[in-house]
Amino acid sequence: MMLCWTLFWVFFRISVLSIGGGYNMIPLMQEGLVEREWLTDAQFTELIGLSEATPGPIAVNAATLTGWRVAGAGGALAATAGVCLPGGALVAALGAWLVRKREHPAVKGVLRWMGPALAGLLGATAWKLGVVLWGGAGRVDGVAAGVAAVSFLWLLGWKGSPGWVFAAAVVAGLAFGAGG
Amino acid sequence: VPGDRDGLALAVSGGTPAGRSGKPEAASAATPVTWGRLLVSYLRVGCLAFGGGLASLPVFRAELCDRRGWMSPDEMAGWFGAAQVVPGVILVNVSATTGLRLKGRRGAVLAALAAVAPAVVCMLGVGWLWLGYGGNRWVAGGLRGLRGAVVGMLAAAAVRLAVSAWKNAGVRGLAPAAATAAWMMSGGSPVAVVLATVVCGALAGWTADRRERRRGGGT
Repeated sequence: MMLCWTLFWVFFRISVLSIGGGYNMIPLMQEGLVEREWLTDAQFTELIGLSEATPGPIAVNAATLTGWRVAGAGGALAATAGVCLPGGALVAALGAWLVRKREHPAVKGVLRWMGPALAGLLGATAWKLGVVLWGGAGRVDGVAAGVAAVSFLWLLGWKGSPGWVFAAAVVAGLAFGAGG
Repeated sequence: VPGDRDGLALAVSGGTPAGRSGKPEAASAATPVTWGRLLVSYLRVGCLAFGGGLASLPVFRAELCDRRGWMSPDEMAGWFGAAQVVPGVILVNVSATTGLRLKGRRGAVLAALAAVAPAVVCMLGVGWLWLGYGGNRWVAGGLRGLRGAVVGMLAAAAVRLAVSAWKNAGVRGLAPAAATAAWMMSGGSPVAVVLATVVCGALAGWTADRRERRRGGGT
């Protein structure tokens, strides 16, 4: 029960700090979940992969999956509630006022500054998780490293949709990585 | 009396008695908002909004504007803008505001729950596979591929954001990105980055607006 409350608060806090949605939560979650030793860096990378490759918003998926892993069904519900509540309640309470104020210069300034900050946050997170991939287990995971390089170029160059990239990555993992 | 019931139905749907004025499409455009329809509509949005975020705007528009006629696309765009400004999950935020607008507080709660339900159910299945069969060589193989794709995706997103920061503001756009990366690499917390960005961004936007206004007032 105590663990469910902790899960709720951890995800509530992550959600409050994530402005601009989606990818913003990844660095925050990495810090919050790995520091608490709920997940290792490698498990966290799997968590994001599973959340991105399945239907639904990454944040909700990751919350449900983490809660489920850490504290079972109750944990899944607590973490999901924590991630949904702040934004949903705020937007429902402020409603039409927000629709008018979304063009406010201060609001636009925050959103404009969030882009560069997010570039740094995601770059550093990619580096941290990539290091684990490359040498975390004492040896280079050639399959994962190859998939990382190909999907990076694919998403950057061909503007491929993430759904296809992730499907191809799973197929590549099954074909080349299932042997152990 | 049949005539009365007609009038009531039109009042509930918020439509005008356009059938009598020779424009039947206006009256049939908006279906009455019932609890059942609300539930089905938001469940459907939850199933179809694959990536979440901004990608779910067309899904919301197709369901609530085109299919049900509950609001205009312009109004939907407004709710989307509001949902983006507020922290949290965009899918949940849009569902909560539009649900509130359509059916009050309980509508907001129902809409948010229904929009999230498909994702939660799906993840319980994935979680079962992840926890129970992580040691299976096929599951482990698929996960190895996924791990690689995540790193590639994050790196690609970072590069793309950095390029657009450079295009928008040159060195002044790239400097905060580099500073953030350096801070993170030296063990700094992302929480501090978010708080600093909110403060700096709000101040920068506000002062730039004031400067512009003063210049506009002077000429």
